Amino acid sequence: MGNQSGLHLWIMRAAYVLICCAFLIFHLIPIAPSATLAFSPDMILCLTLAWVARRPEYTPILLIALTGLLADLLLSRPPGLWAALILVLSEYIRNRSRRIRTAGFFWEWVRVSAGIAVIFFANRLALGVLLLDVPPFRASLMQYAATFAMYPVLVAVSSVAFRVSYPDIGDTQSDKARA
Amino acid sequence: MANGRTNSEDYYRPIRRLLIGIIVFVLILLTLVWRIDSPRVERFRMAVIDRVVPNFEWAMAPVTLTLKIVRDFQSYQRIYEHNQELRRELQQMKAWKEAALQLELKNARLLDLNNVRLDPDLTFITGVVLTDSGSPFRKSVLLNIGERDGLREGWAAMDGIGLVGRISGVGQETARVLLLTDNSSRVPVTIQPSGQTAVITGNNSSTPLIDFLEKPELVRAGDRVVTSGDGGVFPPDLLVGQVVEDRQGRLVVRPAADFERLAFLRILRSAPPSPIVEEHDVIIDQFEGLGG
Repeated sequence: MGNQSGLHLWIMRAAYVLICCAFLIFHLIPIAPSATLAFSPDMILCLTLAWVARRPEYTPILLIALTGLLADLLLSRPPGLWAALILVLSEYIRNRSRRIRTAGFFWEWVRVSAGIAVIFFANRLALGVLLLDVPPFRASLMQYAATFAMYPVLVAVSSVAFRVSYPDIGDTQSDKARA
Repeated sequence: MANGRTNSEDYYRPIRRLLIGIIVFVLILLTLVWRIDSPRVERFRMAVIDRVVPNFEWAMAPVTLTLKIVRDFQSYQRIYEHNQELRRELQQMKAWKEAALQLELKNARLLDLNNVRLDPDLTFITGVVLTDSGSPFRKSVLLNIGERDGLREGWAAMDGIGLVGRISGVGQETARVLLLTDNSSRVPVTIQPSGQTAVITGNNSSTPLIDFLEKPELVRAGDRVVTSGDGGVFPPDLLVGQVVEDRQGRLVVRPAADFERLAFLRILRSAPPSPIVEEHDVIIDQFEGLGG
């Protein structure tokens, strides 16, 4: 049993990385370079937060950091900055995952979207401090709205397709992994 | 049982916090290093892209193919309209062809008269677009040619007709092309009939702005915009596009290149301007040149 659950854990971790890669591929497909719509939610961020809130053991910090860094490198963003912000936010959510779980989905959504807003703002601030091009405010706002709207969809998809939902109380496997 | 768990958590938490602190610190340090010594980190980025993107190819190919099929199918639906349109265009093109032939003859005669030798350095390599930038804030594409094919940073990229951008990152097998429309793209140009120089500034829209224009009143919508060759980055006289006026009355360029369908790009081999090593050498050379 213990062996099998260990295997399952690693399968789910691999699934996390694979889904992130799938999002990256989707971002990189040359459909129409000029029309890279302003409406492009940050799916990796959503996915990470949704999984961290539900099954923190599937998304170890090192994995989040590496995936974030890979995304930064491939999508020609300042390398490391966004990854660090994702990591900090995911850690905030991880530490409150029990409280979030008892409060219900609506409050989870509120909390997560507030967190996303904070790191979007922090990102703009950091870009400004580093004297880099800060993206136009409208575009950031559109992206924020898209990300925020995408969160419940990703939560639904990951609970249906990957069975990533809150563990039952007394679920020894997840409690053990958490401890 | 419960006690034991909290104990282990107490023991575990500070280590965990330390670990997170270290990772975040490293990531932010990476950003700072990138900001300070951008070329080195960019080289690292290109190396990662070089390693990763060709592996994605197999996953991308079917999706790209499906999209193409869907697009082709859509175009079948409008095939009659297209046919009519093409016929009309063909008529116009015949007239143009006639004009072009005459001009070619005339040009050949004039070149002959002037005894002009065309620049043999201006040859090109063609690459296929692998991926686009993937973010709404950056406009760039990735090509399947790189250092292996002798590519250098800064070379101009064109589609069949107009300037598309420049090489801004070369890996072993891939290279990134920063498009004209990117926020950080600046291209020195000449606006044709009036001969004024200006700089084209990308602003992430499909029509980059014309900046640093001395006498805007001499420029009209419809004027041709070509590269001026100032600064030695681009060869001169590459077609960029046409001047148009946008809704706010600003002068912008509508690029001649078709940014909707970037499939193949030509990279012009431009000879690098000879570097100035020591100043007095150049001056002496010039004096010698004057003397001789």
